[in-house]
Amino acid sequence: MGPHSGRVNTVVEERETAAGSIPAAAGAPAIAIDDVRKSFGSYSALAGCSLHVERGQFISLLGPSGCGKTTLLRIIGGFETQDAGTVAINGETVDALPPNKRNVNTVFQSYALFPHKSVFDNIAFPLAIARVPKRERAERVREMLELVRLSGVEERKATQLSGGQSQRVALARALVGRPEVLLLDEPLAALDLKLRKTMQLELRRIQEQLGTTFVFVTHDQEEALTMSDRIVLMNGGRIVQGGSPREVYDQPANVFVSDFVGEANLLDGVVDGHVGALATVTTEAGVLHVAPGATTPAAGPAIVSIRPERIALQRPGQAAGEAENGLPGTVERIVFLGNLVRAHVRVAEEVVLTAELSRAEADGIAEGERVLACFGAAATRVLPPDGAPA
Amino acid sequence: MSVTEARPGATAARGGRRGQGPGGRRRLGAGGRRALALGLQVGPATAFVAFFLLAPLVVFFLYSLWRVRDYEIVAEWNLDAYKQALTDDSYRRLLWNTIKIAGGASLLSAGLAFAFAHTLRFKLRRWQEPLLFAVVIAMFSGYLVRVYAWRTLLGDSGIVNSALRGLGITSEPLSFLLFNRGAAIVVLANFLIPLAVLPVYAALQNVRDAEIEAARDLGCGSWGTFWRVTAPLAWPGIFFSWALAFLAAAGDYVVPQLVGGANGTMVGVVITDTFQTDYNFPRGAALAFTTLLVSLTIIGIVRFVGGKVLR
Ligand SMILES: Nc1ncnc2c1ncn2[C@@H]1O[C@H](COP(=O)(O)OP(=O)(O)O)[C@@H](O)[C@H]1O
Ligand SMILES: [Mg+2]
Repeated sequence: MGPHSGRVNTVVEERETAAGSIPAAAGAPAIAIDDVRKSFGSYSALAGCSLHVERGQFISLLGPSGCGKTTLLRIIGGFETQDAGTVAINGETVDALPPNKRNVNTVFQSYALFPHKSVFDNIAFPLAIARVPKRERAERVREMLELVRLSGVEERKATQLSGGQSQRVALARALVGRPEVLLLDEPLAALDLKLRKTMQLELRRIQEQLGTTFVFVTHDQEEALTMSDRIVLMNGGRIVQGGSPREVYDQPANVFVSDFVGEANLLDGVVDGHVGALATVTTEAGVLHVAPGATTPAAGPAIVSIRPERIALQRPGQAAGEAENGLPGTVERIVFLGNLVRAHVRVAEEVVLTAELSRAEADGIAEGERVLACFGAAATRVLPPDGAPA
Repeated sequence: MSVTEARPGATAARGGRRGQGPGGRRRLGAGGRRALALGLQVGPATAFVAFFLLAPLVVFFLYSLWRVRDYEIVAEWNLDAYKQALTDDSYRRLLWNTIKIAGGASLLSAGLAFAFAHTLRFKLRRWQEPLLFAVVIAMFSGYLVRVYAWRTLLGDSGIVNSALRGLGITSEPLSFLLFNRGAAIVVLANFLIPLAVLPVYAALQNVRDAEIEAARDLGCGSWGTFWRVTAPLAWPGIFFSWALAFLAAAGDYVVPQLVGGANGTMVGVVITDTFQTDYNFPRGAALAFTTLLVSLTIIGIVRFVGGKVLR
C-alpha cells in the first residue's frame, strides 16, 4: 500500500510489468489498464486509472454513483473509447478493437436480453454468430442453463421472465462463449434484497466453477466484501485503493475508503508526539494513543478512524481494561439491531462516537449514563486529512 | 345469474380466483361490472369501425354482386363482374401494372423512410425532433400542388431538362423523365415517404442501445447487429410502413393520370372512370374488391416471409 506516492493508483501487486508491452504470454494479467483517461465534454469522468487484474480473480470495482465505474467497464468492453491510456486483455492491447473482437463479455445492468428471441436463442446467440454447429449449440446452452440453475424456460420469450430469471439468462448468454473476462455492471441492483443475497453467492460459485476472471461493478460495499477476491475502490474518476476485502477494511488508505467501506468514527486531530512506539494525536475529545502505520503523517493534521466494533464501553468503577485509550462520555442513544446494539456516546461537545456492542456487552448500559469509550491503539487508523496530497 | 350464463367460463374462473367466501352473487356482480366497463371501453371504437368502415364496404360488396340495367342497380345476384375483372386481359394487365407501380413506390418509400429514420435514431439524435416535425409538415402539404411541381421539375421544359440543355449535356429534352411507369413510381414514393417514416421511426425507438451493445458484445459486427437485432426488432414497424405505402399507392388514381403516361396507368384510374363515367357500380366495386384482395394477399405473404426471415 503506497498512499504516499504521488497519484494513488491501485496497488499493483506481484507483477510490475508495464501494460501494453506485455507479450500475450500465459503469465500476462487478464486485464491491464494503464493510465486511462476519459472526459465527457469538459467533465473528466476518468482522471487516470491504472489497474491490473490477475487471471481467475473475482474483482469488484466499488465506489459511489458517478465515480466512473461504468465508464471504465465500458472502456474495457470496447463501448467507449478512452482519450488516453491503454487497455490490454490477456497481454494483447485492444484499444483498436471493436467490442465483438474482444474476448470479454458483459452482463448489462438492464440485462439487455433480445426481446424477440426465446431464452434458448438468447443464450445460443453468440454461438450462432460464431457458427458453432447446431448440435453443439444445444449442448452448450444446456450446460449453461445447468450452471446458472435455470431450466424449463428455454422456449419462453425473453420478455416473459422474472428479474431473477432474466439475470440468470443474461449471465448464461455472456458466459456461453467462454470469454476470458466477464464484466458485470451492477447486475444485482434491480433485484430485491433476498434474491440479491442469493445471487451474490451464486455468482461467486459460478466464477469459482469456471475460473473466469470477473470484474464486478457495484456501489454496495457489503456486496463487494461478500464476493470479491479483491476490491478496487474508485472515487471521483480515480482508483483510490485496491486490495483484499480485509485489507481495504482494516487498512484503508484514506478517509474516503475508511468511510465508504464499512462504518468508521472519524476524529480530526493533530499528530504531535510519541509515547514509546505509539504516536499521540490531540483531538477535541482528548489525546489519543495510536499505533502509527504507513498512512500516519509524521506530524501535523490527521484524521483518526475507529471502527464501531472496536470500541468497548466501560462503566466508571469497572476494572480498567488493557485498551490504551478511554474517552469519558455520555450514552446519548441506544439502537437495538437484533443481534447487535449500537450506542452513540458523546465524548466531546462536537464529537459522538458510535460503538457496536454485542447484546451481552450492552447489558446494563442505559441512555444518559456516563461511560468510558475504550479502544486499543491498534484499533485506530490514522489517515491524512481530506484534501491533503495522499 | 345472467352473466354466468352468458360467459360461464371466464366469469367463473375469475370469480373463483378471487374467491373470498361463498358470496356467489357478489362475485357475479363484480364480473358483470367488469363486462360493462369493458363494453364502455371498446364500445365506441367498435361502433366507429362498424359505421365508418364496415358499412360502406358492405354496401359496395353487395353492389359488386348485383347487376346494372339502364344505369340502375338491380339486386340480381351474380358473379359476372368478378369473372370479368379476373379473366379480361386488359383488366389483368392493369392489375399487374398496378402491383408493379405500387410495389416499386412502396419499396422505394419504405426503404428511404427506413434509411431516414435509422439515421435520425442512431446518427442525428440531436436533430430527431425538428426533422421529424419537418416530415409531418411535408405530409400535410398540398397533394396536387406537388404533382404539378414534379411536372415542372421533370417536364420537357422543366428544370432538369433546362439545366441539362443549358450545360450542353443534351440537345433534346429527355422525354423519358415523365409520363411513364418510372415517373409514377417516383412521384408516388415522394408522397408516401412521410407516411412511411412515422411507423419505422416509432419502431426504431423501441430498439434500445443496450440491445445493440449486447449484440456487439456477443460477437456481431455492425452488419450482423443490423440483421440479427435492429431489423428484427424494427420489423413490425418496417412492415407496417411498407404495407401502408403499398395500399395507399395501389389505391391512387391521381398520380398515374397526371404523370403516369401510357404504361403508368393504374386500376384506380379505371375504377374512377367506371363509377363516374359508366355508372357501372357493380363492375367498379368488383374491380376495387379484386384489387384489395390481391393487395392484402401480397401484404400477407410479405408479412409471413419477413417474419420468418427476420428473427
Ligand atoms: N455518455 C456520457 N455523456 C456525458 N457524461 C457521461 C456519459 N457517461 C457518463 N457520464 C458522466 O461520467 C460520470 C461517471 O459516470 P459512470 O461511469 O456512469 O459512473 P458510475 O457507473 O460509477 O455511477 C458521471 O458523472 C456521468 O454523468
Ligand atoms: Mg454505473
